[in-house]
Amino acid sequence: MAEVGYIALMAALVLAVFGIAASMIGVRRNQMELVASGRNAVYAVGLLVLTAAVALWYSLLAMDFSVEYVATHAERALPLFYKFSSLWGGQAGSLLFWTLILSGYSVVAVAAFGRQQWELMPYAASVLLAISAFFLIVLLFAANPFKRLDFTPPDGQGLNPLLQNYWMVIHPVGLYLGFVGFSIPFAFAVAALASKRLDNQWVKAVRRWTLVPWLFLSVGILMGSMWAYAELGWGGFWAWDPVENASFLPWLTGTAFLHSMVIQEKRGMLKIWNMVLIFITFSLTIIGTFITRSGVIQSVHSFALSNIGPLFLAFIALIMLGFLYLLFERLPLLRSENELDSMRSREFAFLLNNLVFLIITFATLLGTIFPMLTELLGSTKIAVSAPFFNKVNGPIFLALLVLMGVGPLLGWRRSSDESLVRNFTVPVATMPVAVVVAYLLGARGPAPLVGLAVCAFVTATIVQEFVRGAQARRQATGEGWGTALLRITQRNQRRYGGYTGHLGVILMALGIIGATFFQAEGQANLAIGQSLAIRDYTLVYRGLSQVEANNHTVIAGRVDVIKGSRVVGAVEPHRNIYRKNPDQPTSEVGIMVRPLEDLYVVLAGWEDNGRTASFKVYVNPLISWLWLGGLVLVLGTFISLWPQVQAGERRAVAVPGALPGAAR
Amino acid sequence: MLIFLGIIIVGIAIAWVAYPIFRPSESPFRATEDSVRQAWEALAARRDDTLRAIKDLEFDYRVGKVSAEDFQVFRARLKMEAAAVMRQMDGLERESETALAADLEAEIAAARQAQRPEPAPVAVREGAPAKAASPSGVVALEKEVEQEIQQVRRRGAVADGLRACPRCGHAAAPDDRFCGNCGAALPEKAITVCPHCGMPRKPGDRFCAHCGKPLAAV
Repeated sequence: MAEVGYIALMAALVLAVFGIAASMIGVRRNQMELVASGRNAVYAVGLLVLTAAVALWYSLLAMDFSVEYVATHAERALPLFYKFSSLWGGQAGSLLFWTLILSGYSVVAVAAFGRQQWELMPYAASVLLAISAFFLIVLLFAANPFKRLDFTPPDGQGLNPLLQNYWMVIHPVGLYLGFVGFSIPFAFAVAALASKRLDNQWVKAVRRWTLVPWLFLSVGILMGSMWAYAELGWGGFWAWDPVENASFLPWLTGTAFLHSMVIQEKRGMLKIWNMVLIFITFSLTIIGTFITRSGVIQSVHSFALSNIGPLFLAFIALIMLGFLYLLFERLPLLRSENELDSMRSREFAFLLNNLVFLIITFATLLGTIFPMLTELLGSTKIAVSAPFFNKVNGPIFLALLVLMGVGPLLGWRRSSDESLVRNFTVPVATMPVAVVVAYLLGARGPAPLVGLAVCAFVTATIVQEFVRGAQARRQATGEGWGTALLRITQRNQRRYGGYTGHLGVILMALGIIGATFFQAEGQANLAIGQSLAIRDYTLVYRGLSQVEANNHTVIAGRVDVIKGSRVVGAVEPHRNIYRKNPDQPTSEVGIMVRPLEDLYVVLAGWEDNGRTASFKVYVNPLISWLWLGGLVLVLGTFISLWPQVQAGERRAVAVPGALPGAAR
Repeated sequence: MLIFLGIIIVGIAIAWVAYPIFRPSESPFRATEDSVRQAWEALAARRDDTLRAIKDLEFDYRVGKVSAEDFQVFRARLKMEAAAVMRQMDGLERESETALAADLEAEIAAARQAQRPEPAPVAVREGAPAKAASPSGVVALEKEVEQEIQQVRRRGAVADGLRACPRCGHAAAPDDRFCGNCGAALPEKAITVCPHCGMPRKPGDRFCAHCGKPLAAV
């Protein structure tokens, strides 16, 4: 079966190259049969890559250990679920998975657009096929998942224990769906440049195709954080690890792009900027894949050093040179339709927001590649640690939050003094109130108080937006508050979906502020029956148990949690010891989730068969608001993604019957 | 066995790609170098954008984000823009209608020559007409705007301090000498119009020559 996969990949590469040639020649010479053939090449490549993926899945499930990838990433005792997911558990397999998702996206995009955007499609299809072709080259010549061993080992080496976790199975899928999805808007940007259709059509065409991968990426990053929080056992959720950063960087620029495309749509401005942003975003997804998959920077996630590095570097260089050449060539066609009227306008707030996003991106990128740079320049690798990122990015994120509140309050073009007063009075007034309340609740220190005040400000602006909108609607129609709120949201899903998303971001910010500034930490070595106090909790160690699972042993400690004088529950922190990788035990943190704080207990070690055990304990205030905020963010994105049923949106291009082009 | 399955799949894929080249008539794409249609599409998109911008502006005004004064100015500007775009679209449609008529005549002539019994295909209209495709809300707004635009066109100038090209209705800055849209020479000063009906007035008129209402001295 491995050979079938290899042949399929080879054929896919040939057809991808053919498809690029057919599309380009077809569109230049106006030979539509070639364009159609190029389009079918997208489908054919999709079919072949799917065949290859099925072949690898088959080998994994059939436990064909003569295939090197199967021998190194699976074992007989591995549960079926993880056999399935080990497709993306290693380098070669995950590159195949990348390619599978890319060709999936390409097929869906080409099918969904159909005859719409037909001027852009041949170019977009070529770009997508070119990206596929690159990954196919990597798969065929540098990281072949179908490579056979000279012998057939009796059993495989098993999957990395860290990856034997449900979160770790879904989280990369989310990330990949996000990463790869940005290929679609990038392809359309290139298509717009190449075809010289540089009005605002391409931006409108890719709005949903940007929002969907952005959503996947957001969810993927959050799931990664949840995994780190629940598994790694150091009490936090984000360590500014290079691999985390690699997923975060395209998210930052992608978010900036989501916002600046609104400006191009509404005001015909920032055309060059948008091109550059989607280009940076796409490049960062490729660089991110490179960082995570080449082991160029040492980190917990980079499992292998390999020979895919040079190929990736060449591809990145090629994208950069090609895109920048095309952009400079078309620069005269990208003039702005409008000037910035005033600094007190929503455009300007959007512009600042973009700038701030880029600053964070730059700071994070610099910190991420800093070890590489120092290694290149000197000889010692100097890594930058989490405090650097927190110190630098913390205040910038705060500025971003402020802009998130200010932007929506400003009108397009220009805001007068009276409207500024009218809109800012209430939200600004909530800030001192929030500070006082937070102080009374026990919050101390300038940084968290400022952060909380800003969160209150932004929340007030969002609430005010909903209330004013509904009020205006009530005045016009006499509807009740509920109906009015529903109607305004329906009539402008993007606006109110965006506000809902912002609300999610505020919840997340509160979670981050709580867990960063108000965390409590303790550790103790306890004999059975002994207890440990942290904040207002008392933890009593009750003993250890041992359970044999499929391919590992579970050691679980039982700890009763007492608050005041009554038992509020129990937590069971685990340790899993895998038979194939006994030196790499994983931990399963015992977490007691309460609305305002998490009690987080890690089983650090034990002696005398569990008569004594040592624990690390954290209290993480507001942390679950981070996950809740993620859900609200998803909800907001769904609101603005949902197909519009109400009046106001029309198919962008409807051709009148009277035109000769339509009569043929 | 499996290897044959693989070869079959590869074969299907190659056939799929090759098929359109051998059956070009079934291609879903139309060859177009039709600049008129492209231009029309671009204009239609701009019109929709402008109409949506007007809606947004009205909403912002209602919730108090835009002052009354700015609202008037911006709305006037947007409506001028919409008017100019729609005018250009009208022009294109007229142009292409004549082209279509000529086209049809040629086709009919060809059909007669070929002695074909069935009539020439007159009713081939693939794209749905713009207005039928649009949701009712937009149609209403469009109608309203169009009415206002008609007024604007008749008047030639909308709000104080704004001028418009007498030929195409495109907005012009106070010191423009030529129209930025059609290149027509603009009159020295803004056209003076009757405040009641919007028709132009000659300097020195004391009553409007169109509606008869009294005019203040210029």
